[in-house]
Amino acid sequence: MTQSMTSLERTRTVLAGGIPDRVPVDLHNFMMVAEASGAPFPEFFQDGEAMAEGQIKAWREFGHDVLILENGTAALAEACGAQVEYMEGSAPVCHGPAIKSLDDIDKLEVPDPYKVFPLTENLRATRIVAQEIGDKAFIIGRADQGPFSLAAMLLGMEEFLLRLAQADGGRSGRRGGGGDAELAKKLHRLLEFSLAVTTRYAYAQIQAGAHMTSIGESLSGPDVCSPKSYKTFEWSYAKRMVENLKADNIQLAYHICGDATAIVPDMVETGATILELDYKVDMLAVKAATRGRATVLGPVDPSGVLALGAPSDVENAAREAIEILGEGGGLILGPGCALPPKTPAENVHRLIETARKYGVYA
Amino acid sequence: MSEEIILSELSQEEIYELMKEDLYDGLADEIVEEVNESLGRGQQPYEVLTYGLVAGMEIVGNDFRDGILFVPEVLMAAKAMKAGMAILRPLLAETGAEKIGSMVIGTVKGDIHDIGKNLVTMMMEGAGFEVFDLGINNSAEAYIEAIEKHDADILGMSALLTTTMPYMKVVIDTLKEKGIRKNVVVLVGGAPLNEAFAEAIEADAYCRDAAVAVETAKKFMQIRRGVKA
Repeated sequence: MTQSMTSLERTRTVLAGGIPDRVPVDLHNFMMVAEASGAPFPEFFQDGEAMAEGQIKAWREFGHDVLILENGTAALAEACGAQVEYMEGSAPVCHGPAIKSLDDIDKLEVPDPYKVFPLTENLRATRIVAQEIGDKAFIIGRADQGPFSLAAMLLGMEEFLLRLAQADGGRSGRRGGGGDAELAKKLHRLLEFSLAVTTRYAYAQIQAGAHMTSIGESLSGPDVCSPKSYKTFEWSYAKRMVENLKADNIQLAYHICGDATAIVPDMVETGATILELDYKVDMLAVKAATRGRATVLGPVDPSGVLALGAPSDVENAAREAIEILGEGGGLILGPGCALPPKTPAENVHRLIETARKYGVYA
Repeated sequence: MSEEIILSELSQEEIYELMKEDLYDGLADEIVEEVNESLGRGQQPYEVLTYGLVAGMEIVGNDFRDGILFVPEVLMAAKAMKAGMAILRPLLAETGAEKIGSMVIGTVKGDIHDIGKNLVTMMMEGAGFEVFDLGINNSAEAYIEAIEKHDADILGMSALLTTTMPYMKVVIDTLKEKGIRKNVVVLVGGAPLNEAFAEAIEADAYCRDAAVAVETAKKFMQIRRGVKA
Protein backbone atom coordinates (compact mmCIF):
# COMPACT_ATOMS: atom_id res chain seq x y z
CA MET A 1 0.00 0.00 0.00
CA THR A 2 2.76 2.41 -0.83
CA GLN A 3 1.76 5.93 -1.78
CA SER A 4 -1.92 5.58 -1.03
CA MET A 5 -2.02 8.96 0.67
CA THR A 6 -1.27 12.47 -0.55
CA SER A 7 1.55 14.37 1.14
CA LEU A 8 -1.00 16.39 3.03
CA GLU A 9 -2.90 13.35 4.32
CA ARG A 10 0.29 11.54 5.19
CA THR A 11 1.70 14.43 7.19
CA ARG A 12 -1.57 15.19 8.95
CA THR A 13 -1.98 11.56 9.91
CA VAL A 14 1.44 11.52 11.55
CA LEU A 15 0.80 14.80 13.37
CA ALA A 16 -2.48 13.44 14.71
CA GLY A 17 -0.59 10.48 16.18
CA GLY A 18 -1.77 8.02 13.55
CA ILE A 19 0.04 5.68 11.18
CA PRO A 20 0.29 6.85 7.58
CA ASP A 21 1.09 4.83 4.47
CA ARG A 22 4.77 5.66 4.84
CA VAL A 23 7.12 8.03 6.66
CA PRO A 24 6.73 11.55 5.23
CA VAL A 25 9.82 13.53 4.25
CA ASP A 26 10.61 17.21 4.73
CA LEU A 27 13.35 19.35 3.24
CA HIS A 28 14.88 22.29 5.02
CA ASN A 29 16.24 23.57 1.75
CA PHE A 30 15.99 27.34 1.50
CA MET A 31 19.73 27.61 0.78
CA MET A 32 19.63 24.90 -1.89
CA VAL A 33 16.75 26.74 -3.49
CA ALA A 34 18.74 29.98 -3.51
CA GLU A 35 21.69 28.19 -5.09
CA ALA A 36 19.50 26.57 -7.74
CA SER A 37 17.92 29.90 -8.66
CA GLY A 38 21.20 31.25 -10.00
CA ALA A 39 20.35 34.65 -8.54
CA PRO A 40 22.66 36.40 -6.10
CA PHE A 41 21.76 35.25 -2.57
CA PRO A 42 21.19 38.77 -1.20
CA GLU A 43 18.68 39.47 -3.94
CA PHE A 44 16.99 36.12 -3.67
CA PHE A 45 16.44 36.26 0.09
CA GLN A 46 14.72 39.63 -0.16
CA ASP A 47 12.31 38.55 -2.89
CA GLY A 48 9.22 36.64 -1.79
CA GLU A 49 8.20 35.75 -5.30
CA ALA A 50 11.58 34.30 -6.20
CA MET A 51 11.68 32.29 -2.96
CA ALA A 52 8.20 30.91 -3.66
CA GLU A 53 9.04 30.00 -7.24
CA GLY A 54 12.24 28.29 -6.14
CA GLN A 55 10.45 26.28 -3.45
CA ILE A 56 7.75 25.15 -5.86
CA LYS A 57 10.35 24.16 -8.42
CA ALA A 58 12.26 22.14 -5.83
CA TRP A 59 9.03 20.47 -4.74
CA ARG A 60 8.27 19.47 -8.31
CA GLU A 61 11.78 18.06 -8.63
CA PHE A 62 11.93 16.12 -5.35
CA GLY A 63 8.30 15.52 -4.39
CA HIS A 64 8.88 15.89 -0.65
CA ASP A 65 5.84 15.96 1.62
CA VAL A 66 6.70 18.89 3.87
CA LEU A 67 8.09 22.29 2.90
CA ILE A 68 9.69 24.64 5.40
CA LEU A 69 9.61 28.25 4.26
CA GLU A 70 12.00 30.86 5.63
CA ASN A 71 14.82 33.11 4.53
CA GLY A 72 17.26 32.30 7.32
CA THR A 73 17.29 33.14 10.99
CA ALA A 74 17.47 36.91 11.02
CA ALA A 75 14.11 38.09 9.63
CA LEU A 76 12.52 39.06 12.94
CA ALA A 77 15.73 40.58 14.25
CA GLU A 78 15.94 42.74 11.14
CA ALA A 79 12.29 43.73 11.45
CA CYS A 80 13.00 44.81 15.04
CA GLY A 81 15.92 47.01 14.00
CA ALA A 82 18.97 44.76 14.37
CA GLN A 83 21.68 45.06 11.72
CA VAL A 84 21.44 42.27 9.21
CA GLU A 85 23.78 41.60 6.36
CA TYR A 86 22.77 39.74 3.22
CA MET A 87 25.86 37.87 2.06
CA GLU A 88 26.63 35.91 -1.07
CA GLY A 89 26.53 32.16 -0.66
CA SER A 90 25.06 32.19 2.81
CA ALA A 91 21.89 33.02 4.70
CA PRO A 92 21.44 36.58 5.98
CA VAL A 93 23.25 37.10 9.27
CA CYS A 94 22.61 39.39 12.20
CA HIS A 95 25.78 41.21 13.15
CA GLY A 96 24.62 44.17 15.19
CA PRO A 97 22.09 44.40 18.02
CA ALA A 98 18.84 46.37 17.96
CA ILE A 99 19.41 47.79 21.44
CA LYS A 100 22.59 48.82 23.22
CA SER A 101 21.56 47.65 26.66
CA LEU A 102 18.74 46.07 28.61
CA ASP A 103 17.68 49.55 29.65
CA ASP A 104 16.56 50.24 26.08
CA ILE A 105 13.84 47.61 25.89
CA ASP A 106 11.13 50.28 25.80
CA LYS A 107 12.55 51.58 22.52
CA LEU A 108 11.59 48.34 20.77
CA GLU A 109 8.31 47.98 18.92
CA VAL A 110 6.55 44.80 17.86
CA PRO A 111 6.82 44.87 14.04
CA ASP A 112 3.66 44.54 11.96
CA PRO A 113 4.44 41.54 9.75
CA TYR A 114 2.21 42.91 7.00
CA LYS A 115 4.16 46.13 6.81
CA VAL A 116 7.72 45.55 7.90
CA PHE A 117 10.43 44.12 5.64
CA PRO A 118 11.56 41.33 5.32
CA LEU A 119 8.55 39.73 7.02
CA THR A 120 6.41 41.04 4.16
CA GLU A 121 8.52 39.14 1.62
CA ASN A 122 8.57 35.92 3.62
CA LEU A 123 4.79 36.08 3.96
CA ARG A 124 4.50 36.71 0.26
CA ALA A 125 6.48 33.53 -0.38
CA THR A 126 4.22 31.57 1.98
CA ARG A 127 1.10 32.97 0.31
CA ILE A 128 2.23 32.02 -3.19
CA VAL A 129 3.42 28.52 -2.23
CA ALA A 130 0.19 27.90 -0.30
CA GLN A 131 -1.92 29.03 -3.24
CA GLU A 132 -0.02 26.98 -5.77
CA ILE A 133 0.59 23.68 -4.00
CA GLY A 134 -0.99 24.02 -0.55
CA ASP A 135 -3.69 21.52 -1.48
CA LYS A 136 -1.04 18.87 -2.12
CA ALA A 137 1.99 19.49 0.08
CA PHE A 138 2.21 20.34 3.77
CA ILE A 139 3.61 23.81 4.33
CA ILE A 140 5.40 25.02 7.43
CA GLY A 141 5.74 28.80 7.38
CA ARG A 142 8.51 29.41 9.84
CA ALA A 143 7.93 32.17 12.36
CA ASP A 144 11.68 32.66 12.43
CA GLN A 145 13.37 32.65 15.84
CA GLY A 146 11.67 31.92 19.12
CA PRO A 147 11.71 34.30 22.09
CA PHE A 148 15.13 33.28 23.45
CA SER A 149 17.12 33.37 20.20
CA LEU A 150 15.40 36.55 19.07
CA ALA A 151 16.15 38.25 22.38
CA ALA A 152 19.80 37.27 21.97
CA MET A 153 19.97 38.84 18.52
CA LEU A 154 18.25 42.00 19.71
CA LEU A 155 20.75 42.49 22.52
CA GLY A 156 23.75 40.91 20.78
CA MET A 157 24.52 37.27 21.33
CA GLU A 158 27.57 37.59 23.55
CA GLU A 159 26.06 40.33 25.67
CA PHE A 160 22.88 38.31 26.07
CA LEU A 161 24.72 35.17 27.15
CA LEU A 162 26.91 37.11 29.58
CA ARG A 163 23.85 38.72 31.14
CA LEU A 164 22.20 35.34 31.31
CA ALA A 165 25.14 33.92 33.24
CA GLN A 166 25.12 36.87 35.60
CA ALA A 167 21.38 36.63 36.16
CA ASP A 168 21.34 32.89 36.58
CA GLY A 169 24.68 32.25 38.19
CA GLY A 170 24.99 30.50 41.48
CA ARG A 171 28.63 30.94 42.50
CA SER A 172 30.62 28.07 43.75
CA GLY A 173 33.64 29.89 45.17
CA ARG A 174 34.16 31.13 48.70
CA ARG A 175 33.01 34.62 47.85
CA GLY A 176 29.52 33.17 47.55
CA GLY A 177 26.60 35.17 46.24
CA GLY A 178 24.10 34.18 43.61
CA GLY A 179 22.37 35.44 40.51
CA ASP A 180 21.40 39.03 39.92
CA ALA A 181 17.61 39.17 40.37
CA GLU A 182 17.22 42.69 38.95
CA LEU A 183 19.05 41.64 35.82
CA ALA A 184 16.91 38.52 35.53
CA LYS A 185 13.82 40.71 35.59
CA LYS A 186 15.12 42.80 32.70
CA LEU A 187 15.94 39.69 30.68
CA HIS A 188 12.42 38.43 31.24
CA ARG A 189 11.05 41.72 29.97
CA LEU A 190 13.07 41.34 26.78
CA LEU A 191 11.88 37.75 26.44
CA GLU A 192 8.27 38.87 26.87
CA PHE A 193 8.77 41.36 24.07
CA SER A 194 10.32 38.71 21.83
CA LEU A 195 7.48 36.32 22.58
CA ALA A 196 5.00 38.94 21.39
CA VAL A 197 7.00 39.52 18.21
CA THR A 198 7.37 35.88 17.23
CA THR A 199 3.77 35.01 18.16
CA ARG A 200 2.37 37.77 16.00
CA TYR A 201 4.47 36.62 13.07
CA ALA A 202 3.35 33.02 13.66
CA TYR A 203 -0.30 34.04 13.26
CA ALA A 204 0.58 35.92 10.07
CA GLN A 205 2.22 32.79 8.61
CA ILE A 206 -0.98 30.84 9.18
CA GLN A 207 -3.09 33.63 7.70
CA ALA A 208 -0.83 33.55 4.65
CA GLY A 209 -1.84 29.93 4.14
CA ALA A 210 0.79 27.86 5.96
CA HIS A 211 -0.58 24.66 7.50
CA MET A 212 1.61 25.07 10.50
CA THR A 213 4.31 27.32 11.88
CA SER A 214 7.68 26.82 13.54
CA ILE A 215 10.29 28.52 15.69
CA GLY A 216 14.04 28.01 16.02
CA GLU A 217 15.55 28.16 19.51
CA SER A 218 18.92 26.52 19.00
CA LEU A 219 20.73 29.01 21.18
CA SER A 220 18.79 27.84 24.22
CA GLY A 221 19.84 24.21 23.70
CA PRO A 222 22.47 22.29 25.67
CA ASP A 223 25.18 22.91 23.07
CA VAL A 224 25.13 26.48 24.34
CA CYS A 225 23.13 26.89 27.55
CA SER A 226 22.64 24.76 30.63
CA PRO A 227 19.37 22.85 30.97
CA LYS A 228 18.83 25.03 34.04
CA SER A 229 19.08 28.24 31.97
CA TYR A 230 16.82 26.63 29.38
CA LYS A 231 14.21 25.95 32.02
CA THR A 232 14.42 29.44 33.53
CA PHE A 233 14.70 31.58 30.42
CA GLU A 234 13.22 29.61 27.53
CA TRP A 235 10.88 26.81 28.46
CA SER A 236 7.95 28.76 29.86
CA TYR A 237 7.99 31.12 26.86
CA ALA A 238 7.92 28.27 24.36
CA LYS A 239 5.13 26.63 26.37
CA ARG A 240 3.07 29.81 26.41
CA MET A 241 3.56 30.28 22.70
CA VAL A 242 2.37 26.71 22.06
CA GLU A 243 -0.65 27.22 24.33
CA ASN A 244 -1.62 30.54 22.76
CA LEU A 245 -1.43 29.10 19.26
CA LYS A 246 -3.23 25.89 20.22
CA ALA A 247 -6.15 27.94 21.51
CA ASP A 248 -6.58 28.98 17.89
CA ASN A 249 -5.94 25.49 16.51
CA ILE A 250 -2.47 26.36 15.29
CA GLN A 251 0.32 23.81 15.65
CA LEU A 252 3.94 24.66 16.31
CA ALA A 253 7.17 22.94 15.33
CA TYR A 254 9.93 23.59 17.83
CA HIS A 255 13.51 23.50 16.55
CA ILE A 256 16.63 23.16 18.66
CA CYS A 257 19.71 21.83 16.92
CA GLY A 258 22.85 20.28 18.28
CA ASP A 259 22.59 17.61 20.94
CA ALA A 260 19.30 18.53 22.59
CA THR A 261 18.83 15.10 24.20
CA ALA A 262 19.01 16.43 27.77
CA ILE A 263 16.09 18.79 27.27
CA VAL A 264 13.91 16.74 24.91
CA PRO A 265 11.56 15.71 27.76
CA ASP A 266 11.14 19.41 28.59
CA MET A 267 10.59 20.24 24.93
CA VAL A 268 7.84 17.61 24.83
CA GLU A 269 6.26 19.22 27.90
CA THR A 270 5.79 22.48 26.01
CA GLY A 271 3.11 20.66 24.03
CA ALA A 272 4.73 21.46 20.67
CA THR A 273 3.33 19.24 17.91
CA ILE A 274 6.70 18.74 16.20
CA LEU A 275 10.21 18.71 17.64
CA GLU A 276 12.77 19.46 14.93
CA LEU A 277 15.89 17.63 16.10
CA ASP A 278 19.41 17.32 14.81
CA TYR A 279 21.56 14.26 14.14
CA LYS A 280 23.43 14.71 17.43
CA VAL A 281 20.49 13.58 19.57
CA ASP A 282 20.27 10.12 21.10
CA MET A 283 17.50 8.63 18.97
CA LEU A 284 16.45 5.97 21.47
CA ALA A 285 16.05 8.54 24.25
CA VAL A 286 14.17 10.84 21.90
CA LYS A 287 11.80 8.06 20.84
CA ALA A 288 11.09 7.19 24.46
CA ALA A 289 10.33 10.83 25.31
CA THR A 290 8.23 11.64 22.24
CA ARG A 291 6.28 8.41 21.68
CA GLY A 292 2.59 9.24 21.42
CA ARG A 293 3.24 12.86 22.45
CA ALA A 294 5.09 14.65 19.66
CA THR A 295 6.31 14.08 16.13
CA VAL A 296 10.05 14.21 15.49
CA LEU A 297 11.20 16.06 12.37
CA GLY A 298 14.79 15.19 11.46
CA PRO A 299 17.40 13.91 12.31
CA VAL A 300 19.58 13.22 9.28
CA ASP A 301 22.88 15.14 9.33
CA PRO A 302 22.48 17.96 6.76
CA SER A 303 26.19 18.63 6.21
CA GLY A 304 28.20 15.52 6.98
CA VAL A 305 25.70 13.15 5.36
CA LEU A 306 23.33 14.96 3.02
CA ALA A 307 25.74 17.55 1.63
CA LEU A 308 29.06 15.73 1.83
CA GLY A 309 28.17 12.05 2.08
CA ALA A 310 27.51 9.51 -0.65
CA PRO A 311 23.96 8.41 -1.50
CA SER A 312 24.63 5.18 0.41
CA ASP A 313 25.49 7.23 3.53
CA VAL A 314 22.17 9.03 3.17
CA GLU A 315 20.35 5.75 2.88
CA ASN A 316 22.05 4.29 5.94
CA ALA A 317 21.34 7.34 8.10
CA ALA A 318 17.74 7.53 6.90
CA ARG A 319 17.10 3.84 7.48
CA GLU A 320 18.45 4.03 11.00
CA ALA A 321 16.20 7.02 11.74
CA ILE A 322 13.16 5.26 10.26
CA GLU A 323 13.85 2.12 12.28
CA ILE A 324 14.21 3.88 15.59
CA LEU A 325 12.14 7.04 15.35
CA GLY A 326 9.58 5.92 12.78
CA GLU A 327 8.43 2.89 14.72
CA GLY A 328 4.69 3.27 15.33
CA GLY A 329 4.58 6.64 13.54
CA GLY A 330 5.78 9.93 15.00
CA LEU A 331 8.46 10.73 12.40
CA ILE A 332 8.87 13.18 9.55
CA LEU A 333 12.18 12.22 8.01
CA GLY A 334 14.55 14.95 6.90
CA PRO A 335 17.56 17.03 7.81
CA GLY A 336 17.40 18.25 11.41
CA CYS A 337 18.78 21.62 10.38
CA ALA A 338 19.28 23.66 7.21
CA LEU A 339 20.78 21.99 4.15
CA PRO A 340 23.90 23.68 2.72
CA PRO A 341 23.53 25.41 -0.67
CA LYS A 342 25.47 22.80 -2.61
CA THR A 343 23.72 19.69 -1.32
CA PRO A 344 23.70 17.20 -4.23
CA ALA A 345 20.25 16.54 -5.70
CA GLU A 346 21.19 12.87 -5.90
CA ASN A 347 21.38 12.70 -2.11
CA VAL A 348 18.03 14.41 -1.67
CA HIS A 349 16.44 11.96 -4.07
CA ARG A 350 17.98 9.08 -2.14
CA LEU A 351 16.56 10.44 1.13
CA ILE A 352 13.07 10.41 -0.32
CA GLU A 353 13.52 7.05 -2.04
CA THR A 354 14.66 5.57 1.27
CA ALA A 355 11.43 6.72 2.94
CA ARG A 356 9.42 5.22 0.06
CA LYS A 357 11.31 1.96 0.21
CA TYR A 358 11.96 1.42 3.90
CA GLY A 359 9.50 3.78 5.56
CA VAL A 360 6.34 1.93 4.53
CA TYR A 361 3.99 0.94 7.35
CA ALA A 362 2.47 -2.50 7.05
CA MET B 1 30.12 42.07 46.39
CA SER B 2 33.09 40.17 47.68
CA GLU B 3 32.86 39.10 51.29
CA GLU B 4 35.60 40.05 53.67
CA ILE B 5 38.56 38.52 51.95
CA ILE B 6 41.65 40.59 52.51
CA LEU B 7 44.17 39.55 49.90
CA SER B 8 47.20 40.85 51.79
CA GLU B 9 46.41 38.42 54.60
CA LEU B 10 46.45 35.40 52.31
CA SER B 11 49.44 33.30 51.38
CA GLN B 12 50.36 33.19 47.70
CA GLU B 13 49.06 29.63 47.44
CA GLU B 14 45.75 30.79 48.85
CA ILE B 15 45.62 33.62 46.34
CA TYR B 16 46.16 31.19 43.48
CA GLU B 17 43.40 29.01 44.89
CA LEU B 18 41.12 32.03 45.11
CA MET B 19 41.98 33.00 41.53
CA LYS B 20 40.80 29.61 40.33
CA GLU B 21 37.51 30.03 42.18
CA ASP B 22 37.01 33.58 40.96
CA LEU B 23 37.73 32.64 37.36
CA TYR B 24 35.23 29.83 37.69
CA ASP B 25 32.68 32.31 38.95
CA GLY B 26 33.61 34.85 36.28
CA LEU B 27 34.61 37.68 38.64
CA ALA B 28 36.75 40.03 36.55
CA ASP B 29 37.35 42.79 39.12
CA GLU B 30 38.49 40.29 41.73
CA ILE B 31 40.87 38.65 39.24
CA VAL B 32 42.45 42.03 38.49
CA GLU B 33 43.02 42.63 42.21
CA GLU B 34 44.55 39.20 42.64
CA VAL B 35 46.86 39.57 39.64
CA ASN B 36 48.08 42.92 40.92
CA GLU B 37 48.52 41.63 44.44
CA SER B 38 50.54 38.67 43.17
CA LEU B 39 52.77 40.81 40.96
CA GLY B 40 53.22 43.23 43.85
CA ARG B 41 54.59 40.37 45.91
CA GLY B 42 57.20 39.69 43.25
CA GLN B 43 55.55 36.78 41.48
CA GLN B 44 56.71 36.49 37.88
CA PRO B 45 54.10 37.25 35.20
CA TYR B 46 54.33 33.72 33.80
CA GLU B 47 53.82 32.31 37.29
CA VAL B 48 50.63 34.32 37.74
CA LEU B 49 49.53 33.23 34.30
CA THR B 50 50.33 29.57 34.87
CA TYR B 51 49.31 28.99 38.49
CA GLY B 52 46.40 31.43 38.50
CA LEU B 53 44.76 32.07 35.16
CA VAL B 54 45.68 29.00 33.15
CA ALA B 55 45.17 26.63 36.09
CA GLY B 56 41.77 28.23 36.63
CA MET B 57 40.75 28.09 32.99
CA GLU B 58 41.75 24.44 32.89
CA ILE B 59 39.10 23.68 35.50
CA VAL B 60 36.61 25.77 33.55
CA GLY B 61 37.54 23.98 30.33
CA ASN B 62 37.22 20.54 31.91
CA ASP B 63 33.83 21.32 33.40
CA PHE B 64 32.71 22.70 30.04
CA ARG B 65 33.86 19.50 28.39
CA ASP B 66 32.01 17.44 31.00
CA GLY B 67 28.75 19.34 30.60
CA ILE B 68 28.89 21.01 34.03
CA LEU B 69 29.45 24.50 32.67
CA PHE B 70 27.91 25.92 29.49
CA VAL B 71 28.77 28.73 27.10
CA PRO B 72 27.34 31.63 29.17
CA GLU B 73 29.35 30.63 32.26
CA VAL B 74 32.49 30.05 30.20
CA LEU B 75 32.08 33.48 28.62
CA MET B 76 32.00 34.99 32.09
CA ALA B 77 35.16 33.11 33.01
CA ALA B 78 36.82 34.16 29.75
CA LYS B 79 35.96 37.77 30.44
CA ALA B 80 37.64 37.51 33.83
CA MET B 81 40.67 35.85 32.25
CA LYS B 82 40.82 38.59 29.65
CA ALA B 83 40.91 41.21 32.39
CA GLY B 84 43.84 39.40 33.99
CA MET B 85 45.61 38.91 30.67
CA ALA B 86 45.35 42.62 29.92
CA ILE B 87 47.73 43.21 32.83
CA LEU B 88 49.98 40.25 32.15
CA ARG B 89 50.31 40.37 28.35
CA PRO B 90 52.64 43.41 28.14
CA LEU B 91 54.74 42.06 31.00
CA LEU B 92 54.98 38.64 29.34
CA ALA B 93 56.07 40.28 26.10
CA GLU B 94 58.85 42.13 27.96
CA THR B 95 60.13 38.97 29.59
CA GLY B 96 60.08 37.24 26.19
CA ALA B 97 58.50 34.01 27.35
CA GLU B 98 59.02 31.24 24.84
CA LYS B 99 56.13 30.39 22.54
CA ILE B 100 54.94 26.83 22.18
CA GLY B 101 53.82 27.41 18.62
CA SER B 102 51.75 29.69 16.45
CA MET B 103 48.19 29.50 15.25
CA VAL B 104 46.01 31.25 12.70
CA ILE B 105 42.34 31.14 13.66
CA GLY B 106 39.04 32.45 12.31
CA THR B 107 35.44 31.54 11.53
CA VAL B 108 34.81 30.38 7.97
CA LYS B 109 33.17 32.28 5.17
CA GLY B 110 29.51 33.02 5.80
CA ASP B 111 29.80 32.43 9.52
CA ILE B 112 29.93 35.32 11.96
CA HIS B 113 29.47 33.30 15.15
CA ASP B 114 32.72 33.83 16.98
CA ILE B 115 32.05 33.09 20.64
CA GLY B 116 33.62 29.64 20.51
CA LYS B 117 36.50 30.85 18.39
CA ASN B 118 37.22 33.64 20.90
CA LEU B 119 37.30 31.13 23.74
CA VAL B 120 39.77 28.96 21.86
CA THR B 121 41.92 32.01 21.13
CA MET B 122 42.08 32.93 24.78
CA MET B 123 42.81 29.41 25.95
CA MET B 124 45.52 28.96 23.33
CA GLU B 125 47.17 32.23 24.33
CA GLY B 126 46.96 31.20 27.95
CA ALA B 127 48.67 27.93 27.07
CA GLY B 128 51.57 29.81 25.46
CA PHE B 129 50.66 29.84 21.79
CA GLU B 130 51.01 32.90 19.63
CA VAL B 131 47.57 33.34 18.08
CA PHE B 132 46.73 35.37 14.98
CA ASP B 133 43.00 35.90 15.11
CA LEU B 134 41.50 36.69 11.69
CA GLY B 135 38.06 37.27 13.14
CA ILE B 136 34.93 36.24 11.27
CA ASN B 137 33.88 35.31 7.73
CA ASN B 138 37.23 34.21 6.27
CA SER B 139 37.93 33.07 2.72
CA ALA B 140 40.44 30.34 1.90
CA GLU B 141 42.74 33.08 0.54
CA ALA B 142 42.62 35.01 3.82
CA TYR B 143 43.59 31.93 5.83
CA ILE B 144 46.40 31.04 3.47
CA GLU B 145 47.80 34.54 3.38
CA ALA B 146 47.96 34.60 7.17
CA ILE B 147 49.46 31.12 7.41
CA GLU B 148 52.24 32.10 5.02
CA LYS B 149 52.82 35.51 6.55
CA HIS B 150 53.18 34.18 10.10
CA ASP B 151 54.62 30.79 9.17
CA ALA B 152 51.90 29.33 11.39
CA ASP B 153 52.09 25.82 12.80
CA ILE B 154 48.35 25.45 13.22
CA LEU B 155 45.23 26.54 11.38
CA GLY B 156 42.04 26.66 13.44
CA MET B 157 38.71 26.95 11.64
CA SER B 158 35.36 27.34 13.32
CA ALA B 159 31.74 27.18 12.12
CA LEU B 160 28.47 27.23 14.01
CA LEU B 161 26.18 26.60 11.08
CA THR B 162 25.54 23.42 9.16
CA THR B 163 25.37 25.62 6.10
CA THR B 164 28.85 27.10 6.53
CA MET B 165 30.85 24.12 7.76
CA PRO B 166 31.28 22.64 4.26
CA TYR B 167 33.48 25.65 3.50
CA MET B 168 36.16 24.09 5.70
CA LYS B 169 36.61 21.52 2.96
CA VAL B 170 37.10 24.29 0.43
CA VAL B 171 39.90 25.73 2.56
CA ILE B 172 41.61 22.37 3.00
CA ASP B 173 41.29 21.60 -0.72
CA THR B 174 42.86 24.97 -1.50
CA LEU B 175 45.75 24.20 0.87
CA LYS B 176 46.28 20.96 -1.03
CA GLU B 177 46.13 22.65 -4.42
CA LYS B 178 48.79 25.08 -3.28
CA GLY B 179 50.91 22.20 -2.02
CA ILE B 180 51.06 23.54 1.54
CA ARG B 181 48.61 21.24 3.28
CA LYS B 182 51.42 19.32 5.00
CA ASN B 183 52.98 22.49 6.37
CA VAL B 184 50.16 23.18 8.76
CA VAL B 185 48.09 21.27 11.29
CA VAL B 186 44.39 21.86 10.62
CA LEU B 187 42.09 21.81 13.64
CA VAL B 188 38.35 22.33 13.20
CA GLY B 189 35.60 23.02 15.69
CA GLY B 190 32.06 24.25 16.17
CA ALA B 191 28.78 22.90 17.50
CA PRO B 192 27.52 21.06 14.38
CA LEU B 193 30.82 19.27 13.66
CA ASN B 194 32.02 15.87 14.72
CA GLU B 195 34.98 13.56 14.22
CA ALA B 196 33.54 11.92 11.13
CA PHE B 197 33.15 15.30 9.48
CA ALA B 198 36.73 16.27 10.31
CA GLU B 199 37.93 13.01 8.86
CA ALA B 200 35.81 13.40 5.73
CA ILE B 201 37.25 16.80 4.94
CA GLU B 202 40.76 15.62 5.91
CA ALA B 203 41.35 17.95 8.79
CA ASP B 204 43.92 16.74 11.30
CA ALA B 205 41.50 16.78 14.20
CA TYR B 206 38.10 17.86 15.43
CA CYS B 207 38.21 19.65 18.76
CA ARG B 208 34.90 19.58 20.57
CA ASP B 209 35.78 22.47 22.88
CA ALA B 210 38.49 24.94 23.80
CA ALA B 211 40.17 22.66 26.33
CA VAL B 212 40.42 19.86 23.79
CA ALA B 213 41.77 22.33 21.24
CA VAL B 214 44.63 23.24 23.58
CA GLU B 215 45.44 19.61 24.38
CA THR B 216 45.31 18.65 20.72
CA ALA B 217 47.43 21.59 19.61
CA LYS B 218 50.08 20.74 22.22
CA LYS B 219 50.12 17.13 21.11
CA PHE B 220 50.58 18.07 17.46
CA MET B 221 53.36 20.51 18.39
CA GLN B 222 55.25 17.69 20.10
CA ILE B 223 54.92 15.59 16.97
CA ARG B 224 56.05 18.52 14.79
CA ARG B 225 59.00 19.19 17.05
CA GLY B 226 59.86 15.51 16.82
CA VAL B 227 59.72 15.60 13.06
CA LYS B 228 61.75 18.77 12.82
CA ALA B 229 64.41 17.63 15.31
